[in-house]
Amino acid sequence: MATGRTDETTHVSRRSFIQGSAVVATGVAAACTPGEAEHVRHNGDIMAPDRTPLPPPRTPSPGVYQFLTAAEARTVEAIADRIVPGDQDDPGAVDAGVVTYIDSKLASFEAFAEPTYRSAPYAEPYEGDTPPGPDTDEVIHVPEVELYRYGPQGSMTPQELYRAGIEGLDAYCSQRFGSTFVQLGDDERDEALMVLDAVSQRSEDPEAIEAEGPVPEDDNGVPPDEMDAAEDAFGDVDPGAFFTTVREDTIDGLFADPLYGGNRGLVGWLMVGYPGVQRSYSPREMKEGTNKQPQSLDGLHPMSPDRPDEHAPPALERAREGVVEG
Amino acid sequence: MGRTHDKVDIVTVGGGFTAAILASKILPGTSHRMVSLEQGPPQWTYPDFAHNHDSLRFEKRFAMMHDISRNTWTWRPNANAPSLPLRQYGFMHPGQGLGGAIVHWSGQLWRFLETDFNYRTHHIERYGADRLPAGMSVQDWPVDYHALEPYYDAFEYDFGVSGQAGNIKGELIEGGNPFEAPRQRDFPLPPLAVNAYADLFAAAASGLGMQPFPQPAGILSQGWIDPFGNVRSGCLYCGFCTRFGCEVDAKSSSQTTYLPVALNTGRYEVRTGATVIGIETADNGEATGVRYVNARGEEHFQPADVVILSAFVMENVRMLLLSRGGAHPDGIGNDRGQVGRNYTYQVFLQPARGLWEDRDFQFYMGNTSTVNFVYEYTGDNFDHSDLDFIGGSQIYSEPCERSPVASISDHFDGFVDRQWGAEWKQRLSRWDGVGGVNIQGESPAYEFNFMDLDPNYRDSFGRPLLRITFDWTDNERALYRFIAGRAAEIMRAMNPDEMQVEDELGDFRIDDYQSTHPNGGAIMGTSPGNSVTNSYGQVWDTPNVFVTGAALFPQNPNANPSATVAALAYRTAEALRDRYFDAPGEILT
Repeated sequence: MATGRTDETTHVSRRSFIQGSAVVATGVAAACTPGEAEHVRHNGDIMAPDRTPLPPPRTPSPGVYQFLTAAEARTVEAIADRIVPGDQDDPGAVDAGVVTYIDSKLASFEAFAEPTYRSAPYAEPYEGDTPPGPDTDEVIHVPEVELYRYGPQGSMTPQELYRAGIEGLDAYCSQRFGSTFVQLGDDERDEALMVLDAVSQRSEDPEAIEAEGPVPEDDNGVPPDEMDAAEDAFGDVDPGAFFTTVREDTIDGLFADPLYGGNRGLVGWLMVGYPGVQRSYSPREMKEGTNKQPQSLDGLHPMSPDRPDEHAPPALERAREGVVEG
Repeated sequence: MGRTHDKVDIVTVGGGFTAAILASKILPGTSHRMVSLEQGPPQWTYPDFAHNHDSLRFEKRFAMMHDISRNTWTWRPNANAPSLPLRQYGFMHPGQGLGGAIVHWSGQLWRFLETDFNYRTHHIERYGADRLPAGMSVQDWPVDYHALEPYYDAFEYDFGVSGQAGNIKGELIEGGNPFEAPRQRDFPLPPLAVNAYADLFAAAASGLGMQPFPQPAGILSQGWIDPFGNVRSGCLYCGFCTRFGCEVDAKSSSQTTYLPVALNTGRYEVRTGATVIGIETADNGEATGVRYVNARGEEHFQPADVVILSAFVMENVRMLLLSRGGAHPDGIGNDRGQVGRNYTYQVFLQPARGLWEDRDFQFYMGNTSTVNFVYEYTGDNFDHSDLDFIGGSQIYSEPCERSPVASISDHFDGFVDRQWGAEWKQRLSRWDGVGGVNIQGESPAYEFNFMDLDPNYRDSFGRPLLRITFDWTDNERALYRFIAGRAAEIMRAMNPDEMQVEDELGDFRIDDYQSTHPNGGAIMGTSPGNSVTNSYGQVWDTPNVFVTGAALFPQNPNANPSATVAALAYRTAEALRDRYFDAPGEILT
């Protein structure tokens, strides 16, 4: 069972980050104090999560990658930096440690971080009215225009998707711009990612999928030819799925509790004005707002500090006799 | 063959909400013994929920949900389309673990309207039989509101419900729901507080001539000692409620109310990590017990006089279909092909959204029940004579307990062109200034929407998955169009700086979360020719098997199902305790 966190370096970097980011920290205090960290370790049993999937046992360290290669990490960083850009005065996804979060997630789960059904047959999309062949134990044919209604149906794990997606992105960028993604300037990076985003949106738009011949630009100004070129360059990987996965992971890393390695200095929460995890609010605070200072899980005080005391009454809804392993 | 346990009076498939209700109502004062088989782990308020404010883990990685990596559901829009499995969580979030989905629920607790029960008769009498579209298979419940009222009442006073009564014995009470069916007395607790946004919604709705009122909730608005002597805390409005267990017992659940009473008898046992494989039947067709596999993969048999399917809707239906024997070649309850029929869902969406540049609403506090509702367009509360649909919808202010990690992804859709990049990032500071008007609308039953076993996909034990065949029809599209218009009127009156309205009901899809309120598949009715069970959930063709839960609902009335699930379980528990064992195996009347 995981216990309280002991990674002092994280606390140090967090504090120094806040101190160096006066603009963001306006009106809020640093999330952690050394006293709180001590306190949490002491109450490790209360911190112990009870249900899977668990957070990492230790907050991942910045700059130390467990799954991504250094080159892959630079690409992920470059993408995350365009999804939520930042600079010294106004931190973004990279400053928040999103790449550390993503790497830790990829290293922590052989496949998916959430429960995922992974048995065959897998969906094989087809164009037109007639499936190209009979369904088998491995493949079920589905009209391409209907596929989005079934949710994620790919067989690729996130590890495979990142590895092959980064390769596909570089192949596409080399073809279009003559260099890999990380070598591009911000505007070209945005142009490339807008194509991937457009592919994702097209997959949910039956009219766009079915349209024949030249089609006007989509809402983001991406010509369909360019989407097709990206799909070709990515090969077996869906460029839209790659982009939405990185975007969603960036959001998770930026806004999840810092114990997952991102949201360092609570920059994600400060960005949206979220005071983090609190034990309670009053009805008045629900009407008028709160002065509570942002805090993360390791600043959350234990629910009933008197319980470890042998003289305290027992917890009310503790385990009862009669519930046994089957 | 594995181990065979000593026979008990009652065994339940699932150790959730209705199993706990049955145990707490049947066992005290009798000598019955009861066992529940729960596939998930044990979980208790202390220590399991003591420190769980982790949005990523509970809201995006689904720590308390049924494990769909082992057993999921497939879906197809119609019988000619291919079915594919729900591979990751999407449209609904059933739970697993001791206490069931009522542990991670939202607390929204409604009695159904009187016309929800005599649905078919009412609509035909008021509008004529030709107003029911072709294929619509709605039917009356075999029990009406007035027969259920005492059970609703008993449940509310056991469980702890906070609310403002709108109709006590026919007398309308100001501030409550003027459309609610008459109740015999007030709620046991006053309503929960609401956030600033719910106030704005209420003011706008009042200005439009509607009568807004606070959500009735199975969440305590103040400290309370229940009739069993359980001492419970009031809600702390912490903002971590739906998809979380409550660390202070304010959110009512099996754990707060029924499990302590049932387990204290010493004649109730819940076995966790126990996955039921099927119900065994004898040559004469009656059930003899259930076969299950424990967490170590060992097979067990639990004999019982009565078998109760008290798992979630889909697993109850699947278990009936999987339990084939000589006397039941197509599964228990399915001798006349009724199992799987009348699967319904809900039209559960957010048609109107607003953005306020200079207001914050504290959406991150409170819970899903700290909101206001209007009932003017619910059920048949409005005249449908000149409308092109039947059915209605609740309309309410967007629920609270918003967390950044679970909300940001599509939060600014429509308010900024691209959902990433510098311009999007700049919008993030308005996170708490965006709110919606939500709807929870009816999903009537149709012949072509149903559940059966999937021919291609199997669970981790090699048994077929349940297949859902379901899509919207023109009736729901017209209902949505009309209700979205009403939601937009309210939003306009709330005067946001920017506003987005979704006028049309999009295609039904399984990846977007809608609601965990599927219904039907083992519906109750008046005869074996129109249903799987009688009004007690007793299976017509196998009378020592019972079903509980929303699988019994002939169709979906728009409101959340939990109070009616509970009231029906109270009624079934009473019949089992007082009458069934006098003449075991006879159909209760």
